[in-house]
Amino acid sequence: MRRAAETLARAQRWLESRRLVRYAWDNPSAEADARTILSSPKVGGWLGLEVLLLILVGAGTLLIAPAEEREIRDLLEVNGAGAVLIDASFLLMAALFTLLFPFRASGLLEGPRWRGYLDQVITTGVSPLRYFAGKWATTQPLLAGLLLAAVPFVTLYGLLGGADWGRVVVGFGLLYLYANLILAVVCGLSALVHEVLAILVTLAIFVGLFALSLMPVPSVIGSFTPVRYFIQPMIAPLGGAEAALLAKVYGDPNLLGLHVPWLLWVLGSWGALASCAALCCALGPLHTFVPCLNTFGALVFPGDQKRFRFRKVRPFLTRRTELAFLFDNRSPRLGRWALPLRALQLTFVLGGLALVLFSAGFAHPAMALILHEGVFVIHTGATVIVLVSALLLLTSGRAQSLARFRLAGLRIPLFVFDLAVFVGLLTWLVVLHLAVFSYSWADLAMPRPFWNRSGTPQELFVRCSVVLGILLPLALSTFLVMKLVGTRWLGKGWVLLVGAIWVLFLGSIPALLAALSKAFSQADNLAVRPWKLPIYALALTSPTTQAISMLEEAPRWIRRDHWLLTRGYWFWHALLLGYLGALSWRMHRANLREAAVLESLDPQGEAEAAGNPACPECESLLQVPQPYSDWGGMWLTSLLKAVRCLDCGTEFDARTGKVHKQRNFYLSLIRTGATGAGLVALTLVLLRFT
Amino acid sequence: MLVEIQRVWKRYDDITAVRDVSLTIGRGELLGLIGPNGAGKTSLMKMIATLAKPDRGRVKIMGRDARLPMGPIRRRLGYMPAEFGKMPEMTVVEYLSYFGAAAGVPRRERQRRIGDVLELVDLVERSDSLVGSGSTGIKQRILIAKTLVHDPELLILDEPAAGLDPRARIEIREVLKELNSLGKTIVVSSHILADLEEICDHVAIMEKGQLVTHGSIAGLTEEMRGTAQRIGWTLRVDLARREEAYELLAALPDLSNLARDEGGFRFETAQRDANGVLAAMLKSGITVLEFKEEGPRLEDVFMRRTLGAVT
Repeated sequence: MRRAAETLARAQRWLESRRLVRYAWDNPSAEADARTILSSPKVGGWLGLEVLLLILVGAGTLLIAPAEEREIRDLLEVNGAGAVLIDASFLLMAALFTLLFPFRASGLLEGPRWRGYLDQVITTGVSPLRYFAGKWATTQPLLAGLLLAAVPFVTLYGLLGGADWGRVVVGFGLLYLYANLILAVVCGLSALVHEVLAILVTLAIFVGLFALSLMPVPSVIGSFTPVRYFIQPMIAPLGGAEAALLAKVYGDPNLLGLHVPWLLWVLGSWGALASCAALCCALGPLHTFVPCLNTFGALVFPGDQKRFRFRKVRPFLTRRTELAFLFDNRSPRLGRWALPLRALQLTFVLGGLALVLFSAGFAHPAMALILHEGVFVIHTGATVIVLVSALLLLTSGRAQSLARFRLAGLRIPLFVFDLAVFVGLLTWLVVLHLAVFSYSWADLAMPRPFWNRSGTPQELFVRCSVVLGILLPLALSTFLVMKLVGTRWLGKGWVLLVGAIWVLFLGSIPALLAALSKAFSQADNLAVRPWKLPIYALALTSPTTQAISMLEEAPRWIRRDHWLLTRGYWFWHALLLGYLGALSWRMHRANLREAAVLESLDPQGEAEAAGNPACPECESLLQVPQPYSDWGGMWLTSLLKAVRCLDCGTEFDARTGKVHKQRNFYLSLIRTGATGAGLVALTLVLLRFT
Repeated sequence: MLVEIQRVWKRYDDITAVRDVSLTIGRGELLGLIGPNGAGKTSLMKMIATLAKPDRGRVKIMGRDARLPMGPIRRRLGYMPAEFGKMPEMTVVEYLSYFGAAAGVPRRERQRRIGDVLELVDLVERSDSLVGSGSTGIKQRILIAKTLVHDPELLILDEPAAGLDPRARIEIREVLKELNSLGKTIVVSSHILADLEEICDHVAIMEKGQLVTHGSIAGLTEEMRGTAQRIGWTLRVDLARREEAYELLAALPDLSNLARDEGGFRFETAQRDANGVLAAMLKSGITVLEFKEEGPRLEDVFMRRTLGAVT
């Protein structure tokens, strides 16, 4: 007894001397978790539920199913009762883990926040990754317990015959890795969004993936859970006439024509996902400590005193700011490389998502049977999902826009990284578009009667290319608009709303002009009829008009020989992107200048020396040139020397020191009119002379 | 310098909580931060505790700019907030172990340190009781123990004596004195000036977000004494000859504001030298029990320097 205790103590000393073990076990979350979770009745509940379900599976399969289902009876005969029961038990455990493990993240960060001692935790200097590692560490014995509880059942079932013990070991290994993957994802998400949301999103993701794994979808998308491994032996006996096709569907993943071994794909994709999640745990949400968002627990914005009480409640911003102080504890070197790492992570996630969706959409063995419209919908759907995900993930508010990466004296703002990620993704989508059509051409080109009804495969390729060509500039302009708004607005939610409004505006409002021009063409009034072509040309600023004109029936009166009337969307978007690009550049330069003023030790003295006029509202001398305004746009604002006070945000004229509300109102009217007239004139000139 | 604050501003909407404050705190210093409510003390304390970043200006803690990640510095400072927070059910030892682990103290060393700090704050007997069950005084002592468990160089204590009874206040005062004698640098904010006067060697007085004055208590009171027009004195004599003494004092030149006090008199002279008063008493054979100058106290400095305005 004494020798055993000594051995145990020696083992404990040895473990404690291991750096990694100390890192994971000797930390506050492990301290708290070990006491509250591992010793609580919850664990008993989890184990009890698992054991009960395993008993039910065994009893159900052996006693009830053979009497009811002929297929099950056949399956038991072909595969052996033991093998079937083991696979069913593993399947059940995978389902249990899918439902239970997302909840392991609850209370990790929100507990200390709501109980009001997160500030005390932060000031201890605990590294966030270490904090999360504690959760991982305490989950391991729990997971080991759950897996060990299943061992007697699996052994018992295996003795019934047909068991492949090598597969059993792999099955346990897959379940272990799967549970850790769920844990990593939920922890990574809870570093970025509220824990409740993170748990719900993780549940939705993994329940969805679990369901997809059971369905006959390609293995590229159906292998994010271990389900496929457990149901693969059941395909042949249960598949009936379609067994061969199903064996292909449930077999090795087909990555744009390349067959990847199932286990390799699973380990690679899970490892990549877990690494991204771990990076989220290490880096946390992107945040720079700008005024208003640089105090733990107190967010006060300009104008808050006059706001209603509920408008001062900002739970998401408050949480992000508080967590930013926790993630300030990460290693300085990691913090320095946060922007490039984040860019890499986003490139990987978005590129991977595009690859998986396109591969899954076009790798289905039944592709040749899919209708023309089906291929079009898969292609467009995958593109839209990837672009919307990119816009969601790359949304940034003011607190993120000011983040910079310093390298060799250069200060590279977040905008540059995000733009690189976004443009890279657009290029990747074009590459995938070409790749999927070239590799699956044989399937698509199969001589089927429906091609005669709905066009040739080449026409399908052109249709998909047109849609892609319309979606990419729209996505880029939306990205730039959101980035522009994000340089000024603090809330990411508002930035997303503006992006949505922008897409709706471009998609619908100019498209109404096309209807108007059609009405003109039918009107009796001859005086208005000459305007139909310029109006239609302007209506092509909308992606909807362009899509209708190319994919559907364009009005017959449209001159097919004029480029502006057939490809106007790309011309207008090129102009728009040029303008938005220039504006983005100016806005981000203004941000850098503003940051430099605030970082200066004596900004007041420098402002006095520069002879800055005092702000008419708060008399502050700190101000930066305004790069853009609603009334003066980009150029007029600079020309009239508009500046913005850094203390109260008032925009005023640096020459007169006044706000000039009335003048600005008239200027905005003139500017809007002049811009409209200029666009009409440009359209007329292009229609007449090109 | 352990803490350097240079031209720091902090603004909340149209309220400037900290306005152009510059302050330095040396190693081993015990600085009291005082000021009326809304003076900007908590904002400044939060900036020193790295829980707030300045809107403008520069804060350097142990040589590191607060705009940079502060993780490496936080392990070397101990922060005691004004509020305890609602801790989950844990004993005092578990609570200290939790924060010790967070600060990276290895498990074995942690047990030793927990024992030491419990002894320091006199909580050894309560080590197994629940943290939430104690009185305010006990909780404050637990918080101080938590602040000390990782042996920090800089202690930031926000209102450590708030809500404490006189006995607990004295005990906390003694603990702080002891910590300072161990070489810790301490920044403490409090409304109780008498407590600060007793323990601090330096004070910083804030009002309306501005640093009104900063320096050693002795220096500030001396400065005030230097600017004072008249010097106050207290004299206590034998009770039997009190009336005679009063008449003598009333007859002396350059003596004003003569008043009877508990068992004695208070008066003011134009000069610091009051030997004439003492000579007159001794010459008449009146026994002098006590004769002392009433120097300006921290309270006087505070009242003189502040207007009672808030931001």
